[in-house]
Amino acid sequence: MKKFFIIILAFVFALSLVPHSVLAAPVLQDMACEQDVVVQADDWLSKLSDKFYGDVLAFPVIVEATNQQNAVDDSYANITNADLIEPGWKLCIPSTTDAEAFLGAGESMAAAAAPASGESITIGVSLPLSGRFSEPGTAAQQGYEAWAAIVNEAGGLLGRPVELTVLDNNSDQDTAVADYEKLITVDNVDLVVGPFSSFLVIPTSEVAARYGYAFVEPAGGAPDVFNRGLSNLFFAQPGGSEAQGESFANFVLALPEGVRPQTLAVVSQDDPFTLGVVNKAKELLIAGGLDLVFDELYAPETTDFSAIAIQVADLDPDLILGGTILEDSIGQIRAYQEAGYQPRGAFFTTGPSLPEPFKEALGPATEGVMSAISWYYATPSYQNQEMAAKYVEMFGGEAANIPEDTANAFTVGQVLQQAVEKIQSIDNAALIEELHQGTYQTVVGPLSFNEVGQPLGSYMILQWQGDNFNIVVPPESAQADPVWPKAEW
Amino acid sequence: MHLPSANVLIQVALVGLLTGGVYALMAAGLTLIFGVMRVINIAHGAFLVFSAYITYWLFTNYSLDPFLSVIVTVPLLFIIGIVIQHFMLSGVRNEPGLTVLLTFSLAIALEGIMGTLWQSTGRSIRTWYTSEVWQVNIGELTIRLPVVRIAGFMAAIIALVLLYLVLTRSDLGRAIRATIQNKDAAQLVGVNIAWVQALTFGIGLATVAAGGALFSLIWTFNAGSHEEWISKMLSVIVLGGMGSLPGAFIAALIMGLTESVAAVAMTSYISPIVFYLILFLTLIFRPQGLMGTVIREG
Amino acid sequence: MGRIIRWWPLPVLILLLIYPWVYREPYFHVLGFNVLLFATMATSWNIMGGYTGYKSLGHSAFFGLGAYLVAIAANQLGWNPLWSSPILALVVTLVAFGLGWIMVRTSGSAFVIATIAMLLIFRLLALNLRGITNGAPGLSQPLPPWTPEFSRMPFYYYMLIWLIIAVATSAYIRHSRFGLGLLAMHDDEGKAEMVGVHTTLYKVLAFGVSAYFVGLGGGVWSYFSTHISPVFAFDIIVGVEMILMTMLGGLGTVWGPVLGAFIFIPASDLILFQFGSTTIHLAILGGLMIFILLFLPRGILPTISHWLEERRTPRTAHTGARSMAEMQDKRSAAVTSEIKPAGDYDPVIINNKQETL
Repeated sequence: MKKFFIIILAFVFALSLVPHSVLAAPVLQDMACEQDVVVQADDWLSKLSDKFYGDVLAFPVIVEATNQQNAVDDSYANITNADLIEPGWKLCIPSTTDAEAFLGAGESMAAAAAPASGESITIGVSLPLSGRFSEPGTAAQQGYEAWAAIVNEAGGLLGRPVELTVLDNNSDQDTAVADYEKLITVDNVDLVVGPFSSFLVIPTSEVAARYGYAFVEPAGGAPDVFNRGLSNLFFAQPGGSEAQGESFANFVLALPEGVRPQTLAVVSQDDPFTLGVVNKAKELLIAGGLDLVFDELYAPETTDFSAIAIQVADLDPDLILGGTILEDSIGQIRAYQEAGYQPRGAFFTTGPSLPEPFKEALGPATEGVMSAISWYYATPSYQNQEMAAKYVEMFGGEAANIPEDTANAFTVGQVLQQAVEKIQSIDNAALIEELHQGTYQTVVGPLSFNEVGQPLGSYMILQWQGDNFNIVVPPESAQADPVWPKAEW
Repeated sequence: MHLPSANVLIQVALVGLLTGGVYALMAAGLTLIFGVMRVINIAHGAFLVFSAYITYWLFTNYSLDPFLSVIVTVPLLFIIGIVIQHFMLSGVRNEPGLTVLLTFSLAIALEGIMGTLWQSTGRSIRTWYTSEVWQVNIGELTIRLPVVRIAGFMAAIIALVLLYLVLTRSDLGRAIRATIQNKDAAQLVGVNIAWVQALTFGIGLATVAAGGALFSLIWTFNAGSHEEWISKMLSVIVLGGMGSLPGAFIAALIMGLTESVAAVAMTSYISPIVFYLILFLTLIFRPQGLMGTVIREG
Repeated sequence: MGRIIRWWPLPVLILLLIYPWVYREPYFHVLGFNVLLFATMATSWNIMGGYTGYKSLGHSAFFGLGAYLVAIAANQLGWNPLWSSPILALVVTLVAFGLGWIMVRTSGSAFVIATIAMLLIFRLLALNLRGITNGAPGLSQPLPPWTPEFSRMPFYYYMLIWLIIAVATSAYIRHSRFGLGLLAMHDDEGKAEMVGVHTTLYKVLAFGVSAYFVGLGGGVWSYFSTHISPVFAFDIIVGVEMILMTMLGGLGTVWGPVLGAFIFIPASDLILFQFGSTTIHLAILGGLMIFILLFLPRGILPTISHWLEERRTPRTAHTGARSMAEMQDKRSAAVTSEIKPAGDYDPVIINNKQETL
């Protein structure tokens, strides 16, 4: 009987292990040569690949197979640059099935076959791929991967391929810290980049500081991130979280006399980032004459907002500021709907900027909700089109649904790449010095940093109008005018 | 602490009571299991979340309304319950610390499995009636009661009444109640204790499956949510008296009410402390709760 | 041979002393520290959970309390955790005395759940008293003053010292009158009371002492991690792992918790980095606990000593001599590890007790 139970237990655990074996990296097959070919004058690899496979883009197969053969038999050529083959070289042409298998084995294979050569540059990162930051964490991973793919296809960083090592910290500070320690001291990565959320950035940046590593990060903008005086940290968004609050407060205070809200409620989770945003906005709005009628903090991961919503509905403030991540923005809005609270304006720190899940959970209730955002897919910023195309190619979906966090991670890559290329080195100490001085072109616009790594820029304000959101502030980037008061949810 | 306006207080109290009904359904199985087997099933919260995930999966893939998905989840969890009781719990010495640890380990293992299968994004279900409200005007007071919570309350009542009928009118129910009162005497009069225990555990999990369907409609959840919910359920059954179904119902209503009122009287950040304090103090000063019998170990 | 084996702690100690110099990478120092930390805390927990039988599932309340006291003292008063931890752990012990005294009326499952409630209350307070604890975002401390070169080694040696002290304390208690009283209470609390054991006093004492090294561990950990937050300082899993290690190695023995820690922590680390996912880690942790609880409830050390006992007991002729030997086996087994907790009313147990008497 007990044996039976053990078998069940083993089966159940086997079940839980399955997804992970599926995610394991594809193994490079040894390809046999269906035929050999001697390069003639006027041949080039894509022409040959078209001839044998009917596909000009399949040439990496030939490169890889030939190089594999070269390792054991040097009558075959060794191709270091796919654009350059010489007449008289012997190439290995695997069968079509082998070729398809190779090409189907994933983007990473294509990257490896790209012209970037030599010892790879390893970049380590620990992201919250599970736990309460799993959505933006996964989006950030996609941003990093898209960036690495683009870099490798263009010839690598300093001519060397970029290799990303991504660990999952489950949104747990201790795990994140241990991850970076391992990446730096055991895996000996060349560079590191930061995780998602100020909550994780704060302790992990200290690890990087301990070992002298530059720490460019995509999503840690809370005041606490900068007020420790670390010199190795750089926040790759237009501004700290306070800048988000500031942008929104300025927008509200600029509304005309009859339209501007008089009363304000703040309902935020206890998180350094959300508090950074709403506290700054609250401070400026109160200074600008608004009345704070309700101010409450709740534990992260709270799911029941009915009590709060009933109180807020009773007080009926004109404007609600929600310090939220995704799940609680949804929870708050639903609770307000149930309580019958219809504000004139609603702002949430995160949630509205994640188009797909926000829309799926709320449907038409998204109308008129506002948030601050650092990036927009239609802005003509540096490499924005390329990033969108690469994202769609790797992960599917539409450019308009790309999460902001993906763009922020991509920005980190851009900043790092430009700094490295500027000084032609991956030495962390030199990088840190350069990052404090330079200005970098990114998908969120030009970025430069002050002495504690705080960027000097400002945020855009978005508002949900119809099926998706539009940028409404500042006018030069805006697609549409802001609507105030907002429609009922 | 500040006292909110009458409007808010009444509104909050009513919503709290409705929520309490749902708590009662969730906790009913837990108290039954304890009554029959003297086992505190810490994994009850994890099974609640598990049923919610199944409900969510059925809803997103097959558009099956959560109220209907109980057709699938209830029998499923009934069977799982019997299997677990028979293979895991029956072979173990019924030492209280041991069974708590065992069910706790089961809860953790379940959390790990669910987390791997469904990741940790918060899940919730949005049906056409998700944010609908039933509005009532009494004088100058406007009461808005969310439809899901009303439906949840009614479903809980129906399920509890059914359970109560089974316990009082059927042979199995009589066997269960006999076992709760005195296991050895029941055995002497011919009750097959092993089967009763297995079936009770099955029934316990089946009720939590129904609870899970309601749960998925009202709150968001992820694999880690079970910890918060088992604490609530434990508070309910301890207050009500472990082993007493009516006790659990009354205690659940009290808890739902207290929780809501506390959230507006203090802040919702600290209000869960009311639950934990009630749990702690009840265990120490009146372990039999409101309606339970005095347990020798207490 | 037996006499030589009795001195086994010595070579093990030497190995532990040179370990950080043989394995120089910080990763191994971190691993070593974690092993020593949990070995110390499991040993501490065992004093209550193993000797007395009252298994507290909420012991991480003391871990977190120690962590926060030390962190706050470091920030507000400039106290270096290395010397403030042992002192502030006394405060934790006092709190444990108080809580133990309140909880003295509970036993069995009620006790276990009460300790869970205790932990949850502590966590909620840490989240809400934001003026003191900074709430959910957590608290940072100044970094240790020694160079990055030695960054983890001092923690390792410091913890080693405390492990030795903790094990010595545990051994001392085990062989003292106090310990005998605890074990008697574990066997049958009512009878122990009759024989003159001050059950209430002993329970409270054991609870308090069991909290000391856990609180101390928390303090050191807060310095080690630099940054602590309520959710992880008051994490129920930390307490559960203490229990798991103790049960793995041998509940109620002196070295069981240490052995359990030395096996569990490296294995857990391996699994974590092998799969890179904490959800799988959680599933395996749960599964492992279920396995140990079902098939190895006594733990490794008592099982081994039982085998050895079996081999040593002469299997002579029938009836008289054999049943004497069996009775002797049962008696020694009952006293050391087949201990039933107080308050369980399973009728079969009563029979066993009559036998041993």
